[in-house]
Amino acid sequence: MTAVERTQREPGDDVLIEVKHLKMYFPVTSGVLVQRTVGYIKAVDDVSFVVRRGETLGLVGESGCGKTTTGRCVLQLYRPTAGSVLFDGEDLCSMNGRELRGMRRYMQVIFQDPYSSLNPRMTAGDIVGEPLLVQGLATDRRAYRERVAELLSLVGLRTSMADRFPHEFSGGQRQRIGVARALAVNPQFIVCDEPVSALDVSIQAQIVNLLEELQEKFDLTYLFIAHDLSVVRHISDRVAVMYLGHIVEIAGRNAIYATPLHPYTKALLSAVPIPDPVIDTQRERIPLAGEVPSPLNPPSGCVFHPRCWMATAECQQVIPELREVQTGHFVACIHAPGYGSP
Amino acid sequence: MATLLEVKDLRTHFFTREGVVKAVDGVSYAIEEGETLGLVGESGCGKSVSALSIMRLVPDPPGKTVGGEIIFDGQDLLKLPDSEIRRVRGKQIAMVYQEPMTSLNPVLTIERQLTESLELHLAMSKTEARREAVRRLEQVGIPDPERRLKQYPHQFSGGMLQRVMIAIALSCNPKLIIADEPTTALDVTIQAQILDLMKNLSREYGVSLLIITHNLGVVARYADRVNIMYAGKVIERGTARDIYRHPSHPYTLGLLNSVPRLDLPRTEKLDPIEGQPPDLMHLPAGCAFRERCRFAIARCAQEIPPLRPVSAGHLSACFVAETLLSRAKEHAA
Amino acid sequence: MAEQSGSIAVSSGVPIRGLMPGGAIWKHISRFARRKPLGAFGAVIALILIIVAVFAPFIATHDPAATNGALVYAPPGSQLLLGGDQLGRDVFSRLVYGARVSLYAGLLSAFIGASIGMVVGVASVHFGGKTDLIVQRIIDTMMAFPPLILAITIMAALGASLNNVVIALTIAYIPSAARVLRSQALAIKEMDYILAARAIGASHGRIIFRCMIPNCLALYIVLVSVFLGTAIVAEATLSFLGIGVPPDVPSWGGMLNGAAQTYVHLAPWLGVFPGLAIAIVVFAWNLLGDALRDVLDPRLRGTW
Repeated sequence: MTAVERTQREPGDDVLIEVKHLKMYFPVTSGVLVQRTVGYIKAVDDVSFVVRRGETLGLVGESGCGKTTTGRCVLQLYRPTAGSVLFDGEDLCSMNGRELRGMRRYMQVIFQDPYSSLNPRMTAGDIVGEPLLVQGLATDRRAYRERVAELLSLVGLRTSMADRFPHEFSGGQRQRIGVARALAVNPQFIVCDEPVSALDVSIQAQIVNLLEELQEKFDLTYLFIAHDLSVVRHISDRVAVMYLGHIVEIAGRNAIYATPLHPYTKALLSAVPIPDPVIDTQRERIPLAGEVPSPLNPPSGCVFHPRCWMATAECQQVIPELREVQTGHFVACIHAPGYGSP
Repeated sequence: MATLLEVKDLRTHFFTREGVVKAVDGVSYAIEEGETLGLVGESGCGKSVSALSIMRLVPDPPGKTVGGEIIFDGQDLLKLPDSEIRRVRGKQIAMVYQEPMTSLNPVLTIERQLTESLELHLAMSKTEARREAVRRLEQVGIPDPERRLKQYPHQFSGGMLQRVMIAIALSCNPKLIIADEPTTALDVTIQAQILDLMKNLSREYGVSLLIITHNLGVVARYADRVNIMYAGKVIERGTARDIYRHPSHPYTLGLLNSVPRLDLPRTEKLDPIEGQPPDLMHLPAGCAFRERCRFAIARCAQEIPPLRPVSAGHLSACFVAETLLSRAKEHAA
Repeated sequence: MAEQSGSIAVSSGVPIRGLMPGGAIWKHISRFARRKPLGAFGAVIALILIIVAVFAPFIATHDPAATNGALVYAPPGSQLLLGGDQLGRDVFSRLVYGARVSLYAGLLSAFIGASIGMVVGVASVHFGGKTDLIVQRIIDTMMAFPPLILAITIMAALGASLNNVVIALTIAYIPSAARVLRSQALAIKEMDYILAARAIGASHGRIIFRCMIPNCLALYIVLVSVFLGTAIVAEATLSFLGIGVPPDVPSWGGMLNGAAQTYVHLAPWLGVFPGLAIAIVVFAWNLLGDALRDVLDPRLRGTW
């Protein structure tokens, strides 16, 4: 048992999702007739976390850090290479396709792109109603229609819009349809995969508010994946920061934004622009050298060490595990205060 | 400072089968020499179309610039013959796009794409152009430029490619660089690098910058002046300080209020702008923002509010701008 | 934007699914005719051809098989509307009866071939991995034979009859249809709505038939119109080679390929009329297909 398993889950905690040592390696193949595996892209490499019932866990990181892959592995849309995902104590990774299809009643997803996530050949009503048909939740035609109407009004759309096709809606309205589809089966858990980043600024706040209202109303649990740190701070109870397939820091919202401990989290927070010329110019930025390395050949030791201004020789050798340095504040950096000896 | 580019009452419309989309409808702005101007607005507000109109790159049909003047360096770009506008494009006005990956040709080396405009516009020889290309890559902070020149776009990361795009834009010593969402496709830690680079180069060479973005935060630090656009019109203009500290148009205020800010305490609820952006084909009478506006008065439904000064150098297209301005000043104090 | 233009589009668009109230059909047809005049023109020609094929015995002026020595190479005119052939048979009547064979073989093989190919291509992409690899190698093998050679091989095994022509041509079209639609399916597979369908627990069948295939329809319709033209000609070639429809049964291809080639300088009408017939069918179908593609695309509703 690592520190993560021992302490992230505390006695008496009502844990809904528990992810343990999740790995997702995508094989890189070459050859035409006989395909040989020449390497692996380690999109997610030994990630563990828990999501408690009713909370929102924010998962942030830059593109290619593996946050979307993590979300899809949790839902088993990708079958992970190794590790386990417990949903209310049941291991999703060991389920077959049929059992998993049944589990989809309890866990859903909202996608980033409101354009590609809705089938252009289906009406809004059909899209929202499809989960009811697939999961056998509509007893008759009337019940089905009423439920679709109810879902549409829940997300702030007029029920008369059910006959329209996706292209007749604006981006924000399309995202509302996506939310209604996820709600259709009355799930307990929703993975929100960058649900607002493709939307206009003035619309983003509408959707964030909607997600919060729905959470309260239906006691939903969210895994909220995003790259926008300000939105994540607003919506999350706890936040996990990912870098190159690893979680480098997890903590409560206030702790991570007020006292970030991992150098990457610090750099990330300092780079967020503030819409005020005076404040933004005064803030100190921590510039990061270089680029994110390829997940095909991740650096040895701590994956962040080539870009880290605190890196020492030790960082090149030791893979730092995620340790609790303050109550509920986990960090994977040997230089973090209170981390102890590597 | 002299005015480098002046856009006067520009109107660019798209003539579709369903009707006329007034993407840019009476937009005026000016860029001084060496100035960084921000053009901010949401998708469909006409900010990109206005920039494409400057370059005369609006796809025609269905797009057509139906009115206005674009005075650059004393001549109206809209009146130039095609052969001459080509000499302005790339040489005097260069563009940097949102997606560096799709703006570069994937089957040509970086060298080929960098030297092309040098040979074309500056009539350099191959070796001269090559030397210049190496120098430019160094300038935009690309390590090991000799080796990088031989590579293809897919061998670069997004941030590095955007640097290449900036090197290409700079290659002919333009007077103006139009950057259309230059950092939207990039990660947050790379965004700052790219903007710092552009700003520094602009200072060093006295190049004017027109930065088009939907993200108010991006230009706060870099722009000298900011124009806010909504539904094909400029609705507020002022220095960055004016706009961010004393917004005097309800839309600007709404935009600023709807984004959560890391430097302020967390609020329970976000404060969005309600409703949807208007249909540019069926604009309501009066102010286009009226239906989403909390401050709308009866007059807003009848007249289109003109862009008018509310204080020195600060313009707003709102009938209640003064009220908003004094409120903002009270709030700041 | 969608808010306002949307409501206009909805109130006037063609409902694609569900029952249409009785009077609405005519309203939609007249709207189609006004907005897509070329498509309507194609539809009318296609309809006329089908009527001609069905009511051939009533329309034909002569027995298409009856020979008449006096009318050998009779020029078009008063005696025979479109002239007589090398055996003195009436070209017009043979064309009318030929419509049956040509339309039957052409439409059936084009539709069935493209449909099976679509399902194979899309399913192969959906299942991916080894399944896709194996299906693709089988298709490669089939595509190594030119379609006509493939059809000839199959005909040789099955024996000459009209239905066997259809079977042979259908099989010959499957690989190319599968290959073309596979490329489309690959793009569709990457869309998030496929992932969304998996996330709600949709079965393989549902994903293939409800999510992927409807989004392949545009390409499918184009493919059918291409196949239709080549199928009519291919049927002709098979008949000409003596392994298709028996030579005494009139078919457009048979007419074009038979005496027309040898005696075209003597009696150009032998080639001109069946050639025109084939050209008109293919042209009409292309017009209709183009219009249908737009009408069936919800994204273009309100614009046509």
